[in-house]
Parts: sequence; structure tokens; C-alpha cells
Amino acid sequence: MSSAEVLNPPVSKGRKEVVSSPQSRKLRMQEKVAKGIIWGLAALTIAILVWIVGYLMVKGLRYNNMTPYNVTPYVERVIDLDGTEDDLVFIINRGVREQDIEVDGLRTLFNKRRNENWGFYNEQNLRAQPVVNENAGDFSVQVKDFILAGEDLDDYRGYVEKASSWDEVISYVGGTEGAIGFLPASEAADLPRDVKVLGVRRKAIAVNPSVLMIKDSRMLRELTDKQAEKIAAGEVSNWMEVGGTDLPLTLLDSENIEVNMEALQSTEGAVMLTDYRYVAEYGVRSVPVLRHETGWNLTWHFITEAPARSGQWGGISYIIINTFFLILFTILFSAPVGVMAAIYMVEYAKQGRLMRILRMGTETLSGIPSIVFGLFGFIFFVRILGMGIGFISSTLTVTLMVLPTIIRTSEEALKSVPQSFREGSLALGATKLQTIIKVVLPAASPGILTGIILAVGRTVGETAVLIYTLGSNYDLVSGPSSSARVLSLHLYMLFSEALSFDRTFATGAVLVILILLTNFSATFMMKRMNKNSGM
Amino acid sequence: MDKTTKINVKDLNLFYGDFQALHNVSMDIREKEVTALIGPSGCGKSTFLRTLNRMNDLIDIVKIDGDINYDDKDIYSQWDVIELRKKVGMVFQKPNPFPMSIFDNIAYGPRTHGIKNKAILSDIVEKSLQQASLWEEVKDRLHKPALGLSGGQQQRLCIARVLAVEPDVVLMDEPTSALDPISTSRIEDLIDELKQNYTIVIVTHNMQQAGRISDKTAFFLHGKIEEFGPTDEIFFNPSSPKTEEYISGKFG
Amino acid sequence: MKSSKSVLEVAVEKILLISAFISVISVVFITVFIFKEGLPLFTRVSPLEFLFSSNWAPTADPPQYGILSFIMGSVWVTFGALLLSVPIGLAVGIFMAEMAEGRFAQILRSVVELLAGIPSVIYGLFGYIAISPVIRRLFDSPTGLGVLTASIVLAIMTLPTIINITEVSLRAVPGELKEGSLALGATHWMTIYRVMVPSARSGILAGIVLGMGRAIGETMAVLMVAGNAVTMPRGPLSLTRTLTMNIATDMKYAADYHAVSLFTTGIVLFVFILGINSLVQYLMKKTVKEEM
Repeated sequence: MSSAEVLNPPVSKGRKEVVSSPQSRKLRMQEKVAKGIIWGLAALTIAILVWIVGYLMVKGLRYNNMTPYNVTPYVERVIDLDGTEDDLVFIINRGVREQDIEVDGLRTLFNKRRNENWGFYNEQNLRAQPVVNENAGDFSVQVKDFILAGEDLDDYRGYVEKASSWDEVISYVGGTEGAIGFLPASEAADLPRDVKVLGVRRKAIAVNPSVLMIKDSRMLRELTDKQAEKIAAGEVSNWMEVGGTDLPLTLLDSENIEVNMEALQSTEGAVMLTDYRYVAEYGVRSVPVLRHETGWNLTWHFITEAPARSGQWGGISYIIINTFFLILFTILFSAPVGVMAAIYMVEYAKQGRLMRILRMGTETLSGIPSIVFGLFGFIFFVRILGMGIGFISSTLTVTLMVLPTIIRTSEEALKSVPQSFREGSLALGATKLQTIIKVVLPAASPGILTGIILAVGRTVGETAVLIYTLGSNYDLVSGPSSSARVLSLHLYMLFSEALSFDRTFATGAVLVILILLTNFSATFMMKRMNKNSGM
Repeated sequence: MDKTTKINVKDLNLFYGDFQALHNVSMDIREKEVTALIGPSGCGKSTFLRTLNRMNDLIDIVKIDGDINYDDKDIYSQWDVIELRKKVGMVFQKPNPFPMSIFDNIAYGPRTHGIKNKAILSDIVEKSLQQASLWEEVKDRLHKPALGLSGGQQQRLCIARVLAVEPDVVLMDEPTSALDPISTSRIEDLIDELKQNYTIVIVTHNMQQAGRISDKTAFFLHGKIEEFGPTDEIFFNPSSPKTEEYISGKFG
Repeated sequence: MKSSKSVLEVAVEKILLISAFISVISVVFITVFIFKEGLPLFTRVSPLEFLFSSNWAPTADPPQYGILSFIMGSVWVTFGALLLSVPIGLAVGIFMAEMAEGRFAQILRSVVELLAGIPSVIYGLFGYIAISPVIRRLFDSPTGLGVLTASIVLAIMTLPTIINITEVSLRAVPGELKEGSLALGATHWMTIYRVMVPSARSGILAGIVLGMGRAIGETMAVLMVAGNAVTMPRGPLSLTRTLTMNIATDMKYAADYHAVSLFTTGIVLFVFILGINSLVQYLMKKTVKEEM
């Protein structure tokens, strides 16, 4: 096309002057600049898509957050408790996905709520079931002190399971979903396969209150994990170095807790790395520490588990299934009607008024915004026909929405079937109907299928029309009038309720993957179609 | 004859991908003569014509080998293609006025080549239309759309459009094949007049037309020049039996 | 030809006819029901007040139903979007029709198809997470949401429409025109912008208007990035609410005449879209005529 200047001169005749003029050089320059800009904008378009899809995929596949905790990220799997002979180990059922937990979490698990759920810690919808050994004597008391962190409770709550030996604790944890218990380290040497050790994060950065005071309009709000490490290693001499106020830093030892706590309370700028329970016990302050949390966002669990707590916990399995149901039924309704309409328009209707009306109807329908379809679906299917907000109302509304897509592509596909096919069949004595069913439709099927795939894509992405026809129930669709969520709707709900951006992104990633799949299959069909018609 | 050579083609071979469309074509096109290219469809005459102002460059798969000199300079290595096309204009088979006014159609070339002054442009438009003997017919509707003209008028407009950039050579690719007989004869008259000032190369299917208007005729067959010489000789005393067969209407 | 068709053939033809009429019937039903639900509002407010008052307080006593700020919101974001997408869309359309070759052209084509296929909630999410922080930093706006962010998101969303129709219209320009211009010594670029684009202008315009329709009708993406403020937009950084957003937001809790007013908003939107559609039809017809 633009190869005018690309072609090599066929013969080189030495270096003679080229006949040119300033005007043509100017024109050429102009062309170069203009085409350069156009190239740039074309590249920009690609960059935009890569940015959008890439951004969502990266965010959707992995999470990468800095979350503040009262304790440092330092994990202990074997805990050396003050005042006990033996070390302490927490064990959980293998089905629990938590790797380590902050000491505050242990307190809630064992004491706070009746229906404590692992979802609070790892978004896994699984009830936690704590267990203790009743016959552990002093060790148990010490651990209780540690877990309760100074709270004065007489005993564990009633729902905490009681076992009578360490072996019983181990077998209970191994056999009960979501179970958690603790053991002396000496008993935890040879744990069965269905039990694993839960790490504990309990070290807090306890400070003199002066550290957290505003001075020169600066204030220490939190520390990063790196800064906390540096402080603990004694590499920081002034709070300014870690984003605080101008205050000398004194690192205190955590041995001999009573003496040092007194020092902490009386020394400006003093800091101590200590068990979190002493922070509450001695009424000192602690600095929140950011933990760098990263990992897979879009996991197998996310795809296969049922959603819970408005989608905050669990996965999106029901929602994916609902999406497929919506697609299935929408296509089940729209494809036959659309294809039949196209057959009528191509094979039966004569050019003229009727055809103009049909064409105008299809075109107008395709231009109507989805929110207007939503209004219509709400008033007509939900209210007037009394179907209620639910699966059938939304399916019918979406069916109307995707109808033009199917009609138009099927029309094109039918039109592209050579007239000679029809004539050949008719000449053999077949009726018009037989010709259409036996000859025209098979020849047009790749095109029709492409249209159906495009309609699938549209159904997957549709949201506005569903808000007031499908509702927001995140259970599995159970019948024609059951309210449900599909992927796009779930994404919007998570977004608008600001429940979890990570899960919004993961849902978005699934949605994008689905769209990519439908798009590629449509392109694939189209290529096959072109090949067929080329033969 | 002391007319100088305008375009000199030597050993031109042209390929569409693997297919060779022109074989060792050599030809001298002299100044202020009308050279007609005749031959059966697909013989390469149009391809040859389009090579002369590098219109074949537009087709990716075309590869060219050989020498084409315009004014003694190689059109590929020594002519800027913009300048070359200014000097070697082209009229196409189907009239192709731009969807703009008559005036703007004619002024398109000059404007492209940097003339902005309105008065100068008006002069050029008038002069070109007069040369193409269209002025009298359109002078009152210069600012009406060119697509409103008849087919013959449109083709003369296209000729005027080429003349407006003051070319030396005008290439015509079957300029009358889409026109009615009256329009055709007007264009033939026009070519006869233009020959005073311009070198013309015309591809035609119409043997009588070639005989009427050309000074030289080249007969193309299967991508080769079967015979090239003064029109009278080709028509009345051809040296090749194939030329004779073609001219007497035995094939083609 | 025999005149006796079998009963089956006749029955099938009737069924096909009914299928073909479903879209027409739907359009009629949608029109009738939206109007039937929305028009009763005018027993409470005059149409003029509804359209030209910017006082929206449907739950106040007495309630106020003025949607001018939403109309203006729609107008602002739509024109903002076109301002960005038209130059890019034209350029890329030109690129696809005239300049793109080989692999790069194929990639670009798939990219444009994908851009058209990405759901609007994804665009909204992306706008909120990726574009609004940039706007916040660049223009020192408190939220980073509003007219400008919505316009950028809508611009990306309307891009495929404009690109596709520009490309199709340019490809429909007869090759003779291109050759004619090149043979006069014009450069390829000159030919594109002085001959080809003007020849394709009706089609290109139709594409732009179609893009406009998409932008006005879009709900989810703007809902997520426009800020949803019930005030008159004052500039590119102000938060705004469009007609579609008004329906989507208030429908959640609207009752009585408040709900009716949302259908009335729907009527306004519907009329806008119908107007745009007929403009597109007109332009397309003009293109077809010009090509002949």
C-alpha cells in the first residue's frame, strides 16, 4: 500500500542527483509526521487494552497489600512462654488454610464469639472449633494467660471443646473441620498428617507514649516491617529515621519485664520488642506494623467455593454457575427466535415496507441502552407479568437485548450462502423449507454460531439490565423466580459495598478471562467460516 | 525527425509475485507524439503504462527490473516520485472526479504542490478547463459538485485536472472505454489538440481509435512488445503475422 | 410453479414471521410501557420544570423533580468522551484501512474487538482503580472521580465503534479516487485527508453519532467513576450524575412518584437515543447514496 517509497530502485546508477523540490520534500515531511502520529495513536490503542487487561489480570491473580497489625510479621511456630517449662505449639486441622495468626486472633478464636469463623483471617468460610486439654494443669493456665492477654475470664467459653489428654486434642483437631488446639512442644514432635502447626505472631513494638505524639506537625503512624526489623536490631538511634518525630530512640531489653516496663513508661523515646500481652497488661502503647501480604488472589478455592457473607468469604462458584445458567437460558430463548427471524428476513420477506419495519425494529432495539431494558424488564416481567425479581425476568429481558446481535449476524450468514445452493436444491424438487433446513442452514451455521458467541459475550458482560431484574442473592439459582447474582453483578456489588478490592479484582479477572474466551472462539469461528467460503 | 526522447524504457521485466507480466520491454517515447499501446486483454499494456509513472508501486507484490528513464534520469533512483507524477500525469479508464466542486477538483493538484494564491488558482482552473475544452460548459457552475457532470464531461474534467499540474507527459488508460460515442469523439479531438504541447501515451482497445489519433503504435502480446513503430506501418504493413492477425480482428 | 404450498410450509412461514416481529413488538412494548409509567409524573410537575430545573429532591416535602443537572451530566461526559475518542478513533480507523499491514494489523484488529467486548463493569472498575488516582494527582482533585474520569472511560468504550465505522467507510471509498489523487503527485497522506476522509465523511459521522449513543446510554461504567453528585456539573473535575445513573441509583429505594420520575428520566434518555438512531440511519443512507 504505502510501499511507494519502500521499493528498491531496480538498478543503481551511481550517485546522481535526485530530481526533487522543496515542496515535495515538505509534503513528504508532512506525511511522515502525520503517519507517525497515527502510528502512535494505533500503538496507544493497543497499549490501552494491554493496560486494562494486564492491570486487571495482575491485580486479579495476585494480591499485594501492606496491612497494619498490632504485632510484627515475625512468626513463631514454637512459642517460648515466660514461666513454663515446655514450649507451646498451636495446631489446626489441615483443611484450614491459615498459615500463621496474630495473637489477637487466638484470643477471639478461643474466647470472643460463638460462631468465630476462619473467614475473618483468610476469607475461608469455615467455622473455627477450639479444643483444650482439661487435664493439663499449670501449662494450660499459663497458655490461657497468654491467649487471654490479661483479660480476666474464669474459664474458656462453653463452646470450647474439652479433651482429656494431648492425644485426644491431636485426634480431635485432626478429625474436626476448622479445629484449633494447642500442645506442649514435646507432644508435637510427631504430628499426624491431618494436623498442622499454626504459626503465631505476637511480638509488638511497645513504646513510650511520647513516640506517638504529634510534634512539629509530624507523627509516627505506623512502621513498615523493614523499619521494625531495624529497630529491633538496634540500628536506629532517632525516631526521625523511621518517619517519626525528632526523638532519640532507646531500645530496651525484654528480659526482666517488670523493670524494663517501668523504664519504658518513664523514658521518652523508649521502645521494647515484647509479647503483645504485656502491652495491654502494662497499659503502654504499641506501634502498628505493616505486614507485606502477597499471594495468589485468583485461586482454585476462589473458583470452587461457595460465596459467603455477601461474597467476603468463600469463593464464587455459585456465581459462576449462575452466570452459565443465565447464558444457557438466554441463548436457549434468543437463538431460535433470532435465527428464525433472520430466516424470515432473508428467505421470505420481500423488499418493501414490511422489511423496512422489521429492519427498523431490529436496529432500534439494538440501540436501546441496557438501563432502559432494565426499566422495561422491571415494569413488564417483574411487575405486570408478576414474575418477580429473579432468574426468569432477567433472562427474558436479556434475551430481548441480545436478539438484534443474533438476528444481524444470522442475516449476514444466510445472505452469504450462494444462491446456487438454493437453486440446486430446489431444482432437485426439494421444497423451500427443505432447502432451508437441509442446505442453507448448514452452510450458514458457522456464521450463526459466531453470532451466538457474540451474544454470549454480551450476556456475560451485561450488568445494568440485571440490577433490578435479577437482584442480589448470592446463592445458587434454584428456580425461575429465584434471585441471583452473576459475575458482572457480583463484581459491581463487591465494588459498591466496598467489601474487598482483592475479591473484586479476582472476580473481574474471571470475567475478563470469560470474555477473552468467547472473543477468541468467535474469531476462530469467523476464520473457519472464511476458510469454508473460500473453498 | 528531430524530436527528442521523453521516456526511454530498456529491458523492462515486471513480476507480480511469481508471475512475469512484462518480458524485456524496450521502447522510446518521443516528445509531443501520441503513442498508442494496443493488444489483447491481459497482454501487459496497462501494466506497462502504469509503470511509467510508478503507479505499480501501489501494489506490494510487484517487482521491477530494467531501466526506465524520464528526461534521461532513472524514474526509480533519480526522480522523486512526487515530482515524477507531476511531470507524468495519468487519466484513468473510469472517470474519477473527487467528491468536491469542479473548481476544487482542478485546484487539487496545484494546491497539493503548494499554490495557495486564489487568483493564480483561478487562472490555472480556467486555463486547464479551456485546454480540456470544458470551460464553456462549466464556467457557470464551478462550485457545483463535479459528480453532477455527465460521464464524458467528468472524463474531460479529469484530463483538465491532470493538465492543471502542468505535466510533460499524459498517460491515458483506455480513457474512452466507459463513454458514449459522442463523448469519445470529443476526447479524441482533445487528444489531437493536446499533442501540440504534451507527450501522450494511450492504452486503447479500440483499433480505429489507435489508428485515428496515434503517431506510433506498440502491439503487446503476452507481456512482450510484438511490434513497435509508426502507426501507419503497424496498421498497413505489419512485419509480424501476429500483429496482422490481431489488427484484422482474428483474435483479441 | 404450483400454487399449493403444503400446510406445513405455510405454518412455518407464519411462525418465522412472528419471530421476525418479536423485535418490532419489543420496541413497541418498551416504548409504550416506559411512557405509560413515566408520563403520569406530568400531573405533578410541568414538563418544562422537569427538563429545565436542576432541583432534584424527590423525597423532600414538597418533592422537586428537575433533571437538568443530569441532562447536563450526560452531555458533559458524552462530549468529553467524544473529544478524546474521535481523534484517536479517526486515526486508528485510518491506520486500519490504509496503513496497517501484516501481523500488526491483525493484532490491532483483535485489540479493537476485545475493547468492544470488555464489560462495562470492568471499565468502571479500571477507571476507579487506575484512572482516578492519576486524575487525583495530576489535577489535585479530592476524589479523582467526576466528569473527566467518566469521559476518559467512556472514550475508551466508544473507541471501537468509531474505529470500526471509520475503517469500513474508508474502505468503501472507490480505489479510483485514491489512484487519481496519487497520480497527481499527492502523497499518500494528502490523499487520505484531502480525498478519502472527505469522501467517507457521512459514514464517519455516523460512527461518531453511534459512539455518542453508546456514551449516553452507558450506565455501569459511569456509575462507578462519575461521583454521582446531584448537582450541576461546573467543569471537568466536578462530580456528576447522568440520566442513566439517576435511574440506576434511585431505583433502589424509589417509591410512588419518585419511581415514576425515574421512568420519566427513562423517557428522556429513550428520546435522546431514538433521535441519535434516526440520525445514524439518515447518515448511513446518505453514505450508500454517495457511493453509487
